Amino acid sequence: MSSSLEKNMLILRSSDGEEFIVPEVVAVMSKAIKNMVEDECASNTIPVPNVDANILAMVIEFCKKHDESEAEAASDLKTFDSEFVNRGQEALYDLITAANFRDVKELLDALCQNVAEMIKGKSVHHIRIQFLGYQLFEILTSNFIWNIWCDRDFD
Amino acid sequence: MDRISELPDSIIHHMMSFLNGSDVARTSVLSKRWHNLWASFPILNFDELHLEQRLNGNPESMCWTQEVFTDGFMKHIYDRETTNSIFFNHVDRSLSRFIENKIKIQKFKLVIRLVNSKSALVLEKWLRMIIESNVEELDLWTYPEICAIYNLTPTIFDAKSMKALKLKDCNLGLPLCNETINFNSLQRLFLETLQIDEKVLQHFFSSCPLIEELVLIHCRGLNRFQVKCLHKLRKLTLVVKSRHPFDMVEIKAPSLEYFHYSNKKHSTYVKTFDMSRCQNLKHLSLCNTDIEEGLFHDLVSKFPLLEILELSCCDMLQSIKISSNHLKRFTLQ
Repeated sequence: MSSSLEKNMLILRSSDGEEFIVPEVVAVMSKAIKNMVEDECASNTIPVPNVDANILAMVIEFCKKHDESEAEAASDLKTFDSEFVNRGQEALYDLITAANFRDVKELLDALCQNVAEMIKGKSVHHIRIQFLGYQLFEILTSNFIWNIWCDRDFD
Repeated sequence: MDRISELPDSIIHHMMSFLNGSDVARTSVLSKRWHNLWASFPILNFDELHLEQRLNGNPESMCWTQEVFTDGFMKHIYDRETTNSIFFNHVDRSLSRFIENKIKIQKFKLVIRLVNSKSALVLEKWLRMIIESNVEELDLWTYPEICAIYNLTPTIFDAKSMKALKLKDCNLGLPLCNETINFNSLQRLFLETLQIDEKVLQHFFSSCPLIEELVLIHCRGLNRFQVKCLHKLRKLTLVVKSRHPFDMVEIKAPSLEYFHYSNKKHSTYVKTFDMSRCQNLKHLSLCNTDIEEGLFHDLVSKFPLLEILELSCCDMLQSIKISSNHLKRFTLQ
């Protein structure tokens, strides 16, 4: 694969061994990778531990879009961002950790903004429901049992 | 526990920085962890103007006062002094908690009414406290607008760790030129509706070599603007009031990438516009600027790397000629 590699391309290897060929300008949007490239301690293949192929693909998609549309209207990019970050709890958590770990500022900001939107102007009850999502059922039932328990105690 | 609450403190704090104060406060009851996160949230924001509006039942911002009113019990509008003392107590308590527990303060934002010399003294005490605890960003707005009670004392100019400073309507105090300013790490400087003169500004610039972003909005007392020694300056915004126009703008900043200049209409136009040393400029935005055609073309020809050009209400331009390989976006309004 690397024999036919063009100039200014890098290979990123995810934690589960999948490889992605990415232009260098896109890859260095991650400060962690940028530092590695600048210090020349990276060969063509850069391992990205702790980030699996699924998440890495998403991060690359985000960086590519941001690199292309540098001079485009900011509003287009905003809509892309808000659609991009609109994901389930698990993916959101993994993306935030990846963005933090690899130091991709734009992505981290977009994700944090998304979580902030979940809280903005909402009641405490509403925030809980949003954060807990599918776990809600579990909690409701345990609360129910807890209430029965309390009632019995007080009686 | 849900996945979001499992994120590290620093990320949740970063997320909280996108919220306003009451939203952040509301998260404190989510769980014990969120309560601790709220208590150590390093961005402090105190706004007396907002508090005044709320307590005095501004119909838009407050719904509970109406309830209180119809109840008939507390037909009470807080007078200015009561509000003032509520506010001062609140700030004092919060700040002391941070200092005593040695919690890092990253940003301190304060909108404050200065009524007498006593409040000025308290303000000075607070500023000393936060500067001693190495605050990184300070955002200070004093009102009422014409307020000669308080001069920013040398205390504030000794903030070695300060990265961003935003001052609005503050009184800088004119004998400033003799003071040493120690903004060794200042990167962003915003000055809005201040009385400032040429000498003071130059003194500011020479004492903060690391400035990357500079914003001057409606500053009084300047009739020319000169930047000579800011080698790291990347973004510059100048908004000029018609009553206080510049007749000369001279910018020598080799790293400058973004420049916005806006002027109120029908003011005297700038006679000299010298930006010959800013070869790296990528984004130029001129608004309401009665700049002459010759001057404009002369100006634009100095920027070989220009990518974005925005012109709005520049009435004196009859024709525009641009030749650039890099231009990606051009807007005209």
